[in-house]
Amino acid sequence: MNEGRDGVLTTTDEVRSSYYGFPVIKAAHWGWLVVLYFFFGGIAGGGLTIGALATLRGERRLARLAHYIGMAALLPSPILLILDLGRPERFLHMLRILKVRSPLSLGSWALTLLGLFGGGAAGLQLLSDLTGKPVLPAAQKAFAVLTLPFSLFLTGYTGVLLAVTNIPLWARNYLLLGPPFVASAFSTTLAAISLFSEKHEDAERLARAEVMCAVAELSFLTAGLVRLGRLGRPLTSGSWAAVFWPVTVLAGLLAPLGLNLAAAGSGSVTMRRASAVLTLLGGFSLRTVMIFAGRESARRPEDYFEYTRKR
Amino acid sequence: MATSKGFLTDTSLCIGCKACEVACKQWNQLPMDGVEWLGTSYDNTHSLGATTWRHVTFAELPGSGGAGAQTNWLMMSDVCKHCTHAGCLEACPTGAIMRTEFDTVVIQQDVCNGCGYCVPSCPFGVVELDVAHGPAPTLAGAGHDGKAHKCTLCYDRLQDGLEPACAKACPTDSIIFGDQDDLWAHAEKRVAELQGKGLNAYHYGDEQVGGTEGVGRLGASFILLDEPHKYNLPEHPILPQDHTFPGLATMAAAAVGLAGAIAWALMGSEE
Ligand code: SF4
Repeated sequence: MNEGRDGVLTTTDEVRSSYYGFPVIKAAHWGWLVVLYFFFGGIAGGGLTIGALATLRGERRLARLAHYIGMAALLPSPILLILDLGRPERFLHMLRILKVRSPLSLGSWALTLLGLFGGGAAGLQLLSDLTGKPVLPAAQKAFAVLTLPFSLFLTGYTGVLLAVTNIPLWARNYLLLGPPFVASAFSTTLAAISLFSEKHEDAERLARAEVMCAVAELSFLTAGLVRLGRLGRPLTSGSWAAVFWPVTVLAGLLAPLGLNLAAAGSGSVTMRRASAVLTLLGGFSLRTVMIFAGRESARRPEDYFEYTRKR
Repeated sequence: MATSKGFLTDTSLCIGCKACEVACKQWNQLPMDGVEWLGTSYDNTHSLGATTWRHVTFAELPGSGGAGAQTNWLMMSDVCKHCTHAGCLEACPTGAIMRTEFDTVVIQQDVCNGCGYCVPSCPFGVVELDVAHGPAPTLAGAGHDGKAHKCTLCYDRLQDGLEPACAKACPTDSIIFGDQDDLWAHAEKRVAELQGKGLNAYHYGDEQVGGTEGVGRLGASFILLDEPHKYNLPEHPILPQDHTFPGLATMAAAAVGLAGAIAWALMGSEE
């Protein structure tokens, strides 16, 4: 506000460019429960995908680890989602109908079916491990085939869920919000697997896959930021930039990349463990900054007007 | 099948009395929002929300010509637009948000489970959850009910052949209710009349005139006298769900591609 010449308050640019700087749209209420779900859901999708592929290829060691990790991440997922509802006792209303254009509806069904098929696959895996011989190998393969579409969906639909809103930071980037979530889901899954993996010769291969995922995630994120331009400010220079650059990008992506490449030469177990821990931290922080910077994006009328400007 | 009903809010007639806000709260039994003057103006409800389904904006625009120039008031009674393609409705995973026989958009309170996905999906920031951490005060007598709320275009009154409470209460007929086609015809005449008087009037919510595209024609449209953003309205609202399939396609491509690459990197040498 300006003091006018005669002491009367007159309006400034604020009211000329928006309505007193008030937000035009409302932010999503999503907070830590949803951040945690996005993190676990990614590992559930990644773990059950790798588990299914390993079953189909007959890689027993990998299948076992991936199934257990995927299942451990899948179990808390519905609980987190139900707790986030305004009316948790009505969670089953999600399964009244299917709406193919609503990512949240698709996700509810995918999570349910993944619980069925992935649960079946992981259950047979557990029985096989307990009895010491493969239990119903044909059914294991069938479950693997049934699991794949839904586990693949779970790796990245959460990014699309954010994108299909009006929050400029997410919506302008709708083509490139799913892919980094996919890459991060796989890299956090691989990191979890490598933390539990005992075989030395597996470490080499896991590192190779982790490097691929990190490079993919970096490329998707960079392309997304370019696409966002000024609308990316809540992430790149807003209050969440203090987490995005040092934790998500530096500690969570670049550092593990360097450590994995260095470990490839030296074979250092410590470096590999450090890389895995950092990758998990980075994956968690990616979801944190995306969700919370979205709130900041919703509060900026100028960003929304730019997003909805006539072209 | 009843015809499509809607509102036309003619801001050139609005005197900022807030009778619509009060009538809405009374009929729908919504609590007050507290009295706090906002935006250094006469606005005390800030925005539409879980317990405010009509909201009168007061924008004071200083006239050109320096000190002493006449202030230009832009007053508008904002409301849910009852979009032809509604982002809230398409987002709703429970089917709680439905299209009624009057072509209006209503949230069935006995179905809503408070997932909140409709909230960021509305291009106009209309719908809101009644939750403890939201800015909205408690719904009368019920505590925070955790569900999504917005204007119903007085669905209960419409079913009994009455006009919505806000339109009934508006003393200047700035808010009028009726069949959408009649409102459209009226708007066209009124805009021409205002333009004839030298005002910069236009019909916001009409696809032809360029109010909206992605969300289609607005069931509740407006006659505005200045650019949309001065009223906190977007120039070209976008329907979020138009991005679902393209977004899923790139996501799926990345998922299948990376899964294949991981299989290649990880497998094939065990045993
Ligand atoms: S204005 Fe918002 S709340 Fe109203 S129908 Fe359109 S999308 Fe739904």
